[in-house]
Amino acid sequence: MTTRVIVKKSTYRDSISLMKISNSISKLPGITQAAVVMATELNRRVLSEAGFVDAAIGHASSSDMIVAIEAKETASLDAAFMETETLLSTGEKPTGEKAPPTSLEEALELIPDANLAVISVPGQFAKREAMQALSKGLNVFLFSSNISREEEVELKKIAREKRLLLMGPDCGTSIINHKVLGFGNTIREGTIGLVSASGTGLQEVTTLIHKAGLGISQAIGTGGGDLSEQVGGITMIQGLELLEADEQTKVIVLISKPPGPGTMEKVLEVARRSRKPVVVNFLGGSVSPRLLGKLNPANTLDDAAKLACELAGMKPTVVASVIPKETISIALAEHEKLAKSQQYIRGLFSGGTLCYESEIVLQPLLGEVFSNAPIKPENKVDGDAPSKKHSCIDMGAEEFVEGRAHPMIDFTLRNMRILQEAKDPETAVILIDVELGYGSNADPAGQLVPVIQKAKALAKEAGRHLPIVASVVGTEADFQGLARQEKALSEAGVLIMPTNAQATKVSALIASGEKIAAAISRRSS
Amino acid sequence: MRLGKKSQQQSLGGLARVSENKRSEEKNILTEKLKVVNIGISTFADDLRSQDVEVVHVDWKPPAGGDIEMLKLLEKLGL
Repeated sequence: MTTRVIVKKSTYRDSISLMKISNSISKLPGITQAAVVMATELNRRVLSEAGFVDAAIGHASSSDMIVAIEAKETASLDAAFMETETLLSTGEKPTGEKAPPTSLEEALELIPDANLAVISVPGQFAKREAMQALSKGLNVFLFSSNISREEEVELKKIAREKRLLLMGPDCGTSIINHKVLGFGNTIREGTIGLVSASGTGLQEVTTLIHKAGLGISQAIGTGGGDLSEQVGGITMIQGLELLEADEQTKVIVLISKPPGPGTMEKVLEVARRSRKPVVVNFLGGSVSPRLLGKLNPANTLDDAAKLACELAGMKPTVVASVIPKETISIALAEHEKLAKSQQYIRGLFSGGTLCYESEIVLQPLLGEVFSNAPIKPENKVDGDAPSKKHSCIDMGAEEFVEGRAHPMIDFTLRNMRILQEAKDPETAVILIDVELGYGSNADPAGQLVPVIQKAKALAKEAGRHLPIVASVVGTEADFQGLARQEKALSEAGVLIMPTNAQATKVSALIASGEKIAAAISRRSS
Repeated sequence: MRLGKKSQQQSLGGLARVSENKRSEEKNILTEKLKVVNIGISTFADDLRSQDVEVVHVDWKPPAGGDIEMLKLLEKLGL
């Protein structure tokens, strides 16, 4: 086996383009592993864990690119480096086409009436790009993360002043005029309008609305920091006002992790003035009756979808919220197969809000849940550290995505973690989420099934049975095909539930058995 | 999906008071056909094109060769 590492100074490509190049090179004859990545701290560490040891890696900075390839022989290595150069230069200038613009100003010469900038550059450069877009009178969908609250406030105040919408930073998804921005699903047109500070929360609720047979008017993402005390819900309030004025919207849904108290008061004051029914899902955050008034509270994402559908005229119970008795029996049977050491749930999420929702569901059932994004600060753990007791890890958190594609598209890090959990004798059940739609991997089940088979085999070799539970966020209209994805996972022995909240409850049941069965049945009805 | 006059008057204020300001009416993103400049991940542009959205993708490179200190200096100089 032979390896070679080359550092290309001050060379940039986006993380998804590089992931695709890495995948292409990995499939070349004689290549055992290949990584073409920006030299962020995270990527340098992952390379080292993958066995690439080279002093040049340590000296590279985050604006450099690293090409690291391992092959069976030198000839394959040479061929792979040549192909890497070809792929990198192909991405630079599309053959037969005019060179693309290299700045917003140049782009606006080609599309002078543009009304939206979609920005996904590394965080340290994102404010500059967003500021330029706002100054040109463009609304902004700001996918980039790693932007300070102070910068966010500055950008949002300018946007508000100019009566523009700044969705983000760290905004994973929006559906504006039925067009998906970032990561999102194909959803039927309808009368439910949403404003959400959580990307996967928005995906979960919109897909459940679609599955129930209804549709949406608009889905406005605000970015995760919008409802912090510093930002004060600037974008959520703008979104609420836009939906209030939007004739197609008949029901409004607000989704967020629990806001800061002052921000909650401000946002709900605007919501209470709405002439339309408003569902408020602050994910486990309690809202006082004084603030709530006529608003409709929902504790979990599936509750929010159910309530919204009912308010939009659908008969109750159409959105599944009850775990069938047969599923409870299956979960209890799985519990019986566990070894004595297998006590804990290991949730590995690509969706941050789904991670948070699972913690909210699990805590009253099982007690403490540890997380890199905990609902209680005292339960915070390092995302990289081995799991501790019941754990829910947000694999889309900033520490896992610096210079890397999001885990919804790049399964590398979560797959490694699934195998790590499978080897841990204390793991009772692995809980995962799978997101379909624009932006996500073209075949998530294809990425997961070999790893799930290996995880189950590893546990079996050690004399353990390893249950894996998943929910798939998606619709039949998504290009990956919901039924096809669920079937492939199910055939690999994954227990599929229709919502993340239900998948979480079933996982709790598998981990703890009969002693919490009554609580699960009660909460499901 | 242009807002009717009545719904504009009934709106809550702030952004939705579009009738008071012609420019903001033009820029109310929910009432317009999306026309996008994509800066960063190129697949976002591909996904928008596949939804029949007009997009121009910017072949973005970090300014000042990715040197943050240099970038701060350039910004101070207004460059």
